[in-house]
Amino acid sequence: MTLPQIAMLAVLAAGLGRLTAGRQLAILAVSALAVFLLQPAQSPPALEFWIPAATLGVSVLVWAVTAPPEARGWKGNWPAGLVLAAVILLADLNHYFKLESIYLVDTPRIRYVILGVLVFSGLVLLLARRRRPLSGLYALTISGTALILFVLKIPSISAALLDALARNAGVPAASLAVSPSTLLPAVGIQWLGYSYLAFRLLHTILDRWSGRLPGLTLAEFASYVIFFPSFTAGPIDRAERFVKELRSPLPLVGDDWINAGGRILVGLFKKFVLADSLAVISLSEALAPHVNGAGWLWLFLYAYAFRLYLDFSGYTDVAIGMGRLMGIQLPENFTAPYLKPNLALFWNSWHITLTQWFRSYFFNPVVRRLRSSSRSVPPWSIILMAQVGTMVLIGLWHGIAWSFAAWGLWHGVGLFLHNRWTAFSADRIPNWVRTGRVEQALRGAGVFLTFNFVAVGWLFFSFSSPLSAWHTLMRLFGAA
Amino acid sequence: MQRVNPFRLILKAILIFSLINLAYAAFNPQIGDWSIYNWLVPGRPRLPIEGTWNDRGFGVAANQQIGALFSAHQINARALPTPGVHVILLGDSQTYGAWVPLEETLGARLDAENLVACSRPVTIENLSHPGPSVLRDFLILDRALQRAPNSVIVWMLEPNAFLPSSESLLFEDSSGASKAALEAYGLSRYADLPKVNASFFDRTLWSQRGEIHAWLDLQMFGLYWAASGDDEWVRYNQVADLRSFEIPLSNEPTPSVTWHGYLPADAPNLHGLYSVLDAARLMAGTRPAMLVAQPIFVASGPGSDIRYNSLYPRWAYDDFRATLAADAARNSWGFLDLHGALPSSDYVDEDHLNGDGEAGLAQILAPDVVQLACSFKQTG
Repeated sequence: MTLPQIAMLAVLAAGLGRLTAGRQLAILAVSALAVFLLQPAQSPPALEFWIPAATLGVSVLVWAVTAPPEARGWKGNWPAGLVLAAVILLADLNHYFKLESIYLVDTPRIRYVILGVLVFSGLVLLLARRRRPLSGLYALTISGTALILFVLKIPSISAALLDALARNAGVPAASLAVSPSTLLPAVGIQWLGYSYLAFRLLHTILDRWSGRLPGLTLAEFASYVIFFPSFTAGPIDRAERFVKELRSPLPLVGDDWINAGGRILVGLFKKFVLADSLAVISLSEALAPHVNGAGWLWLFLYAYAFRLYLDFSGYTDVAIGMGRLMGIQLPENFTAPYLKPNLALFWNSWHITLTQWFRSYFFNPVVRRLRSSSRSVPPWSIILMAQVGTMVLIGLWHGIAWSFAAWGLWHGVGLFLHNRWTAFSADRIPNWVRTGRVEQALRGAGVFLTFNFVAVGWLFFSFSSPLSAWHTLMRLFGAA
Repeated sequence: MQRVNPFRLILKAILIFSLINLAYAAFNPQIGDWSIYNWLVPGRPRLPIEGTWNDRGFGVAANQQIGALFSAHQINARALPTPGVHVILLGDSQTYGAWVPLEETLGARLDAENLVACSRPVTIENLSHPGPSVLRDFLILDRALQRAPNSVIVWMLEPNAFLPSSESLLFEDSSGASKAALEAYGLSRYADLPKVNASFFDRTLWSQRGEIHAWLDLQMFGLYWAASGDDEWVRYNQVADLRSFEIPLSNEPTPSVTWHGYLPADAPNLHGLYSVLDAARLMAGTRPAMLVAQPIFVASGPGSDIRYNSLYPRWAYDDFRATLAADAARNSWGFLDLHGALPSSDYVDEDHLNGDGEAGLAQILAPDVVQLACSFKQTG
């Protein structure tokens, strides 16, 4: 998001927070418009229309699959359906208004869009007519949602797909150069926010399947999955918690206005002043070969570590501040992660909502399954499998590449070692160590070690191959 | 809990914001003078070319404060040997040497010669900057002479430096020093240029936010410079490689007499900015100076009877050479016409030299630089 976009959305959020009637639909409309507005430019340009339209379409489809019969009624949902259709048509009308400064000019012809909306609406109505929940349908929806994520996250497939689409449209595919302005190189089709959208959708389907998800109207469901403050960079809220505050917004009293506005300003400062300045010297694959000496490499690695934190947590601050202006308290995603004395605590305070998602839907089920396995599995190997598996999956969520897998492995092994050390040392550390200055000093050493372990791990995260990351890691220690 | 009135809140915020802006404008802090260069990291041998970059792209150094650029240069801290002479080298991208490694630039080549003029060591200060602009060079000279009064001047020029459009290459200056210099030397008609303007509103925090951002980036580029010995951050990351402005060599220029839309009959009307040279003469006082018509690639194929190359029709460059020679004579400055001094193999494109070209140019210039430095009468 750019600064003007954030400013505009913050003003809208403040306005939406003061609405007493039609608030839910207004939030849905602004969120849906923001999906179109924020979609990055790419070639072929038609994708800039069809991808946001698909975002709305996928959301509606999953709602139709997951909503219980009592939440699927025509009466309670036609206004939201109308709002979403209207937003798609409005976005498309720019073909005629030519407001280039606001949105893409070259949108498709409206007759195709109307036809698409009508066919899609028919499909949704058909789905909404079913009486009983169908496990097969849930499984199919989960597979479809994950498959799209899979395709988008494999650079070679995503790029090939983009090339094919571009060839079909008779235009060159956008080749996005790697520059220091990007934390992660963008390759192939850029489906804005899909990583987060997919995880919100998977959460709703899995919870519906297990009977935990309450019945949500289309307006509530769609507002949850595309809520504009958190659409592009999280946090990944839980649907039932989000909808509670969507229905009964938290009042803005006392210092709430100041706190919400202050949170946005702090976020902007972190992202646009601190993170963007550090970007110049953030260690990257392009910069590393130019740097002489391990000392400078360490400095630039720290710059990358802080840039990543400030950039990401800055956006989270903005999202939380905007949400609060609308009476919705989004969950925290970062709580001083670099000040944590061990890796387990780091992962309880870094990208918290993503970690919780994996804990709920992967780590805990895997541990339960292995513990209840008929074959006897040693506890340490359960921990090893679950932690390494979870962290590698978290790595692959960022992109299906060896470097992300290596980053996940780095943290998985780190967490496992920490777990074993904690178990080993529990009864062996004398009491005097746990008091006063010794404990403080140990805590300080823990913070230092944890931060440096995490910082070195970012090499695998930011470099395109584990080998080049390893080479730079060796240089950090003067071994290459 | 007390209910907060958002309108009162916004009003207070606007008031505080206005007060901070007014205070900033009133104090007018020259943040450009604060620098990690020559302190935490070494000063640069050339003026920085990096400006601000962000997600939308890269801004060239024209959005930097001129003070910040000078603070980053080694001239800000470099001690002049006693007795000794500084050579202030002014010019555009050819002199800057964006197409060659730092150690192969004209300034570095001359400096490596360890020139001695009449028993006095000569140090070269490369203060050139990409993009031809005589007005920008004049403002750089103003700063340079304040920092290094014991200097002689070598000014590499080409016709494009005298085009009115070259004014866009000026640096920001909220201190008002550039405006004052233009007014002091009878160039006040240029003092209204946005980049040299320093009105009260220009000095507010809001107006200065871009320059503060650029300044912050400049300090960060300094860390890269110290870590790599590479003073072109833009080159490694390929965000804005200056080579993208290359004008490919062609021995067969299109036989057109126009130059930026001008015709031969327009030549007398294009002399306005030559008055900057007279102003520079006043500023330099008794310090010796030499104007150089810098080398350009000279085509030899069809069309070369009308144009020297795709950049310049013959009339434009010949008028420039004649005018420059006359101005130098009028001001008792030296003049060197190098327009065809280098073989075509020394060029990477029609306006820029390769490593051999920079070396060849240094060899040609060195005796004249020594002679110029010899004629300098130490004042301090």
